[in-house]
Amino acid sequence: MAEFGPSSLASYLIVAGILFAAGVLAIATRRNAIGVLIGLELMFNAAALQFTAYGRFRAGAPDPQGQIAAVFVVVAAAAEAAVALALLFAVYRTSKDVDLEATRELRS
Amino acid sequence: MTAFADTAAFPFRLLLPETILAGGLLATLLTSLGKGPAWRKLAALLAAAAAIGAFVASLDAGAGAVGTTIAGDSFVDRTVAMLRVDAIATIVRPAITALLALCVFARSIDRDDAGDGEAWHACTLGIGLGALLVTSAANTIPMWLGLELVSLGSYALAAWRGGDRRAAEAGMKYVLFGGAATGLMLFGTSHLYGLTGHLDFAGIGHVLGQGASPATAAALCLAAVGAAYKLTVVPFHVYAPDVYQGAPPTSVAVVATLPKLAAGAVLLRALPLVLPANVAPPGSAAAGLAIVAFVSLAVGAVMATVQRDARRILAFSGIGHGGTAVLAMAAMPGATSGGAASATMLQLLAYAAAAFGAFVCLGILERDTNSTDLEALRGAGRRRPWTTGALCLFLASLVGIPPLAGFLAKWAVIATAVTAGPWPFAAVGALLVTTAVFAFAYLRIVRAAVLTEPAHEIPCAPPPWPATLAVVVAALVVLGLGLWLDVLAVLTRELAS
Repeated sequence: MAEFGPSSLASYLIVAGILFAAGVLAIATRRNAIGVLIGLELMFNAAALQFTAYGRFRAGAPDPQGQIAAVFVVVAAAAEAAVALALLFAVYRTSKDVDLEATRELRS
Repeated sequence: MTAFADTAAFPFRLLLPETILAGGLLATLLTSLGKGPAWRKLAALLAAAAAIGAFVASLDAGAGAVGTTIAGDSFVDRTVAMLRVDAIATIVRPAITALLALCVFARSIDRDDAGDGEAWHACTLGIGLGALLVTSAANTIPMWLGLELVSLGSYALAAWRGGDRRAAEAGMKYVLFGGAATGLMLFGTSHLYGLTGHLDFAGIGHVLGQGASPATAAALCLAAVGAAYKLTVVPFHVYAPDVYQGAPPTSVAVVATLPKLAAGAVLLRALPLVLPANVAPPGSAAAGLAIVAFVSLAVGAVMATVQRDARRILAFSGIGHGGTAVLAMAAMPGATSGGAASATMLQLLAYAAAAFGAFVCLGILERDTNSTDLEALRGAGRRRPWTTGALCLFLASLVGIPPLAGFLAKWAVIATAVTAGPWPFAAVGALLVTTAVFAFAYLRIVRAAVLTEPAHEIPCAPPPWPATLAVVVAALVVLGLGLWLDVLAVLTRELAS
């Protein structure tokens, strides 16, 4: 029986799972590109949280690799957000909208 | 097992190609401080010099591995592999750097209206650097860090034409889709780390060899998404047609080739390590890969026939070729010879050379009409006979017509996959059928370009010499790989060492 609380792995995994599910949901349902971008950030943060939690609760001794990976995830998420916002700005400048349904010039 | 380089000292010779590219990237960025055509030319020269320098360095880098010793009071001392320059990297690193140099040359066909060519070159060198990291990754951290470096540059490149609506849309779709793929990959990798306790391929494979659960299989599939979307295999292909259609011509030539080589190389290294031959149930990995290949081929072929834009046709062709590479990999789990690995490698190299050439040729033809619509290609054969001829050569290689590289590659894939089990066998059938369908799709491009009269006269100037050089080199590679019949035996021998 898994124990919940700050000292159990399960509680961290559940929070990460909720974050990830919320991110996927946002990506699947949002029509506004900013909403999709927020969903992406939630997914990244779920991964970072899991890396840290798994490293801390590794069988035997805590493992620093989880924290190392989490730091890299945070950096990658920041870089991704910067590039994505720049591109959304480029779209906004040309079509005055970042609605994914409205921006559909490329098609077969 | 190759020995680890001394972790106290930087393994300079081993990582010289990466070092040169990083230096070239910084120097190219610095030139953006100056404005004007002279500075832009300097940026192009620096980028070309860095790519060629990295190519020369990668030819003589030797082999070895770079690892990190993780130590501490409560932590267990151990050395974790990070990068491994093995036989795969020794073959793919020169290919990537050479292609990078050709991409820099081909850039001369883009009309640079925005006047920020320096940063284009910096982004391209960044993509090259990321591709090299992915190519020699032996650990999930350098793998996805490299994939991320490739992605960030690719997103920017796709939207490069300033003020162009279609390019901006291509960039936005690319970054949102790519970000989702990266998120899935990171989530899967973190689960894989939690379930196995390792981040390096060998460690993960060691634990999986003792018994895999459905949870680890799911985590493994998610962790592979990052490489799968770079290879544009179904279901991670949806961005490719839009990006390839909307992005500027040379950006497509970069984005369609370099990441695929890198992703293929890292899958080639990771698959045998992560999926030991005894992983249960037997044949499940081969079946999964073969199904991905089957669906990619089918979707690519069917969709290619209904497109009206030449670049969209080539995008679906890329999806099919990604599937072909995955089909060759399906023969790898449990394979005794290096035949599957060398078939995958040849398929990747042949596709990269032919696709690069085709996209650059289309870019040259596009200069006259500002469109790659099939209608806009009318009379291209009369207008630019040499470019159109080269385009036909590259398309013939993509179909797999002897004596071109694509033929040897397809033959090798079929020969290795046909005996790998029922699912790969079915996918080989799909490969044969879709080859004919793809040939029909390419013939629509050829018919539009060669067999129709131009609607009206269009004045055209000869293409810039660096782009011509890039096309000629790509054509020679396509011809040379096809005529060099021993290439498979050589690749097999090299990969087995």
